[in-house]
Amino acid sequence: MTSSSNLLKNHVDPGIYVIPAAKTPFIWFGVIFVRSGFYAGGIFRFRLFIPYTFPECKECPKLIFETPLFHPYVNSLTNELYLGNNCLFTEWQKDINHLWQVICYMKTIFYNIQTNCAINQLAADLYENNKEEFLKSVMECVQNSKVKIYDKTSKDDPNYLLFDEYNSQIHESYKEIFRKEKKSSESNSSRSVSWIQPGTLKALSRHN
Amino acid sequence: MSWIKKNNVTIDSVKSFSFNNNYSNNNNNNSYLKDFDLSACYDSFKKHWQQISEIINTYELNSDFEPKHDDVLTIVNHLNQILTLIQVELRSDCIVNSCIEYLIEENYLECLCMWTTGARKYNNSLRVEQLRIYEILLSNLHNKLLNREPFLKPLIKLLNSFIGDCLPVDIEKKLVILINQLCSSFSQQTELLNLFFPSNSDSEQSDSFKFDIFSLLVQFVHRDGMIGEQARDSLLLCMSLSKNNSKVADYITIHSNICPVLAAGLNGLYSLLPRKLTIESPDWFRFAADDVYEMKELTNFMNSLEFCNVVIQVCHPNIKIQLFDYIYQGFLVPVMGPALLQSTEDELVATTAYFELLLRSVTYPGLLYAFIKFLLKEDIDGKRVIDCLIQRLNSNSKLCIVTLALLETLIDLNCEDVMLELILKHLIPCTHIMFSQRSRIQHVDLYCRSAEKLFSLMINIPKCSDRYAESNIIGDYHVYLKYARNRIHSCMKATNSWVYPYDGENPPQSCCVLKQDEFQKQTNDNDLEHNSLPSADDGSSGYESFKMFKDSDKILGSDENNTLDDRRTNPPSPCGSETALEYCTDFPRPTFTKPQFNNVSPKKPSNDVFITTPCIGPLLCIIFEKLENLLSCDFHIVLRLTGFISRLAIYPQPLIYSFLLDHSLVFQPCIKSLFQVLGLLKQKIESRLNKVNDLSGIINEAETFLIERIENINSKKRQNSEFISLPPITNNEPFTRADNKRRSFSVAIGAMFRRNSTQDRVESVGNGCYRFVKGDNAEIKHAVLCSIIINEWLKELASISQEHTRFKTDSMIRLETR
Repeated sequence: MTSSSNLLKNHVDPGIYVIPAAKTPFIWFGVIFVRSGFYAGGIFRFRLFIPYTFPECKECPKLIFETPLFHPYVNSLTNELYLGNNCLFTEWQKDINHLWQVICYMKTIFYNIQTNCAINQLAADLYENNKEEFLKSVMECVQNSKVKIYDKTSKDDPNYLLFDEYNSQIHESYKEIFRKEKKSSESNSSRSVSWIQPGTLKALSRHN
Repeated sequence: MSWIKKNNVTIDSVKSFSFNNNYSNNNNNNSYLKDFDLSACYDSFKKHWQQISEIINTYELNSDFEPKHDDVLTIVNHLNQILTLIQVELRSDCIVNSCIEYLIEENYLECLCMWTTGARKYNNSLRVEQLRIYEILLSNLHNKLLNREPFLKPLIKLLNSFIGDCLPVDIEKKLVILINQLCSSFSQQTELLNLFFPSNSDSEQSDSFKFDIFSLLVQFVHRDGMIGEQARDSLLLCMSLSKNNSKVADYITIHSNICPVLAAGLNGLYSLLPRKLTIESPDWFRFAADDVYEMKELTNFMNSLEFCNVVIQVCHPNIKIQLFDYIYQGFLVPVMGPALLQSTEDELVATTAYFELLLRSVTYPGLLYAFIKFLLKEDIDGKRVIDCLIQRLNSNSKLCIVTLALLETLIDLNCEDVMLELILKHLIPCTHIMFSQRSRIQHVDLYCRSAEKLFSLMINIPKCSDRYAESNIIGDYHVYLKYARNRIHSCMKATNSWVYPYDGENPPQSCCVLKQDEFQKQTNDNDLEHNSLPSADDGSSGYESFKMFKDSDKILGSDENNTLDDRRTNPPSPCGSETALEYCTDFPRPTFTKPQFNNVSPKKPSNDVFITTPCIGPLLCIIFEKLENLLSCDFHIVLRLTGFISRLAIYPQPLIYSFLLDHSLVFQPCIKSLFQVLGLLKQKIESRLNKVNDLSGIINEAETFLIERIENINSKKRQNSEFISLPPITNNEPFTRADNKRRSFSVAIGAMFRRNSTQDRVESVGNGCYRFVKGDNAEIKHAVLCSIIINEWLKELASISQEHTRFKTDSMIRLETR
C-alpha cells in the first residue's frame, strides 16, 4: 500500500491533486481542475476507493466524483467513473494495472469524449445528436462543482482537500514563496561533476 | 620648534584620540574637531614640511650619504606630527583638504622618498612613517589620490624599494596592509590598475615598473597569522582581477612565480606532516575537524591547499592551467604518488588518511579535477593509483578502513568520471545479467518486493531483552526512509546533468567493447603471472560462453573449497583492470530517447567483436568478496563496508540500482547478487549461532556494547556540537561541495548506524569492542555483533530500495500525465 501511495504524490500533475485519507490508506481524496474542452473551468472532487486486499485483488478500485458529472462514462446515479470501457480495467492485475493509470484515465475522459459502451446513455445520445443540450447539462455540472468546491462539510478526515476564496493577505505571501522557489530551483539546476566528453565513455575526456 | 612647544597641549590632546584607529563618528569628537582652527593646522603642517625639507637639503643627494641620527629622529618626529594633522583634517567636515593638497602640490612625498632611499641604515624607520601616511590617505580618500602623479610615483617607488629586502615584522605588517588597501581599490575601480602597469612605450625602458605589488605579496603567502591572511586576501583579489584583465593574468603567469611557489608550499608543508599517526580510537577512519585543528602542521597544510583551491576558482584560465600543472606535476605526482605507494603499512595509513582529507576538501570547480585525474589516470610504476587503492581493500587492518573511507569519499563526490571508472564501465555491457534479462534494467519495483526480500534476509537472533528494541540502535523505520529519501534526492540532483542516464540503453550495452585480441592478450599475461588461470578458448568465447562461466566461477571463488587466501593469489581477472576495454567513440550525444542506437542492435553482436565474460569490475568484486567473508572482518570494517555499499545503492542510475537492489533480476551464474551474498551470510551466521545453546548472555553483552557506543558517540557529538552539525536525521548533509567555506569534517553518513564516531583520537570509543570481542567465545560474539549490524543494514537497504521506487514512480507519473 505504501508503495502505491508513493506512486501518486500529493501533487501529481498540474491540475490533479490526490492525497490518501489520513484515517485509511484505502480512500484517496482528489480534485481535478479541467483546463479546456467541454468541461473547462470545472473543479471536480473525486474519491478513489481501493479494495482492502489491494494489490492482491481482482476487483478494481472505484473512482467516484463528489458532485454530479454529466458524462457518457459517469454513472448518473452514483457518480462512479466507468472503468470497463474498452476492457480497460476489468479485472485488477497487480503487475499490469496501477492506481495512477486510473487517475490518468479519469483525466482523459474530460478531454476526449467517447460514447461507445456508455453508461450514461442520455449523455451519450445528447453528445452525438444535440451538442447544445449536452453542453448545457455539462455547464450546470461545471458551475455546481465550482460552488461546491468551497464546501467544508466533509471535514471528517484531516487530509480532505479544502478550498478557500483567494485572499491576498493570506495567499500572496505563499505565492511569493512559490515564485521564489521556482526561481531558485531554476537557477539551481546544479552543475554535475563530469568531465566526460559526450559521445565517449572515457573519464576526463573533456578538459576541465 | 617653538611652535611645537606652544601647541604641544593641543596636539597631544588630538593625539589621544586620533591614534585609536576606530574612526567612530562620535558626535562629541566631531564637534570637538570642528573647534579646531583648520587654518592653524594648515600653517603648522606647512611648517613641519618646511623643516623637513630644510634638513633634507643640508645633504647632498648623491648615492652614498650618511644622515645624522639626530636629523633622522627630527624628521620622524615631524612626520608623526604631520600624520596627526592629516588625520585632523580628514576628520573635519572641510571640503578642501588643504594640507593634503599642499603635500601633493609641493611634491614632498617624492622628495622624502628620494632622500629615504639614500638614507641607508635609517631607511626602515623612515619608510615605516611613509607607509603610515599612505595608509591613512588611502583608507580615507580611497582612490582619489591614486591617479595623481605626486602621490602615485613615490608610492610605487616606495613599494619597489621593498622588493628583495629582508624586512622587520613591523614593516611587513604595514606593507601588507597598504598593499591590501591598494588591491581593494583596484577591485573597486579596475581602471586604476593601468596606473601600475607601464604604458607600451616605457615598458621596455623600465622593467621594474611592473605589477610589483603582486611579487611583494608572494613572499608572504605561506606566512602564519595576520600578515599571511592579509597577503592571501590581497593575492586573491589580484587573482580575481586577473580573470578579466589579461595584463594582470600575463604578469602573473609570465613574470611572477606564484604558481610554483604555491605548489612548492604544498610540498614543503606536506613534508612536515607526521609520517605516522597515533590512532588510539579503533573507530577512527578519517580526519575530523578537531583532528585538523589539533595538528598545527595539518592546519597549515590545509590552509595552503584551501587557498590554492580558491585561487583556481577565481583566476584567469591561463593561471588556472599553470597552477593545475604545477600542483599536478609538482605535488601530486612526485609527492603524493610515491607516498601513496610506499610499503610501510603505518605510513600508508597516514598517507591514505591525508589524501582522503585532501579529496574531501577540494571542490569543483576548483582543484578536484587534478585530484581525480591523479587517481584515475596517473600511472605510477605501471599501476594506476586507483587500482592500487582498490587492491588494498584486501587487507584486514586499519589500512582497509582508511582506504574504504577514501573510496567512500570518492563515490560521495557524485562525479560521473569516478563512477564510470569504478563501477559503471563494468556494468554498461550488462555481462553480469542473464541475456534474457537485460531489458529489465529499468524495471521498477512497484510493490517493493526487493525491500520485502531484504527483510526476509534478516538474521534470526533469539530475542532476549526489550532493551534492544527500545534503544536507538534500531531507528524507527520511518527515520530510515526519510534519511534514504534525502540522500537519494541530493544524489539525483547532483547527477541529473551527467552525460548519460546509465539505464541499460544509453550508453548502449554494445558500446563498451572488449576486443577479442586484447582480451586474449590480457588473459595470456595473466597466465604468465598466475599459472593457475585457464586461458580463454577462442572458439567458445561467444556470448554466454559456459566455459567462461566455469572459469570465472573458479576465479570468483564460488567454489566452496576455495579459501580466501587461494582467491587472493588468483585475482579475478575478467573483472580486472581496464586495459582491455575499448570504447566506441562515435556514438552521438545521448538523449533520453536514444534513437540512433536502435540500428546497432546490442542483442546481436558479432562473435568476433564481443566477448561477454561476466564482469562487474574489480571494486565490486572485492567489496562483495569482503562482504561474503564479513565474519572474518574487523568490526569497524563491517561498519565501513556496509556504509560503502549503502552509499553506492543511493545512486539512482538504473545500472547501479538494478545491480544492487533489484532482486528480480537474474544474474549470470558466476556473478553473485547482493541478495545471494546476504543469503549466504545469513546461513553462515545462523548455523554458527545455532551451535551455541544459550546465546542470551552474549546477545545482551553485544547490545549493551552497541548501545553504549552510540551513547558515547552522541554525548561527544553534543560536546562537539560546534563541528558536528548532524543530528541523527537531517536534511543537511554536512558536505555540500559547492560550499567554499571550510567544511566541518564531521559525521557524514550512516547517521543511524553511528558508523562514525566523533573520531576523537585521544579518548577511545571503541575499546569496549575489543574488550567485548576478544575474550572467550570471540567468534560467537563477533557473529552476534555482525548479525545486529547486518539487520540494521538490511533496514537501511530496504528503505533505500523503497525510496528509489518512490522517486521512480514519481517521475513516471510526470511523464505519463504530461
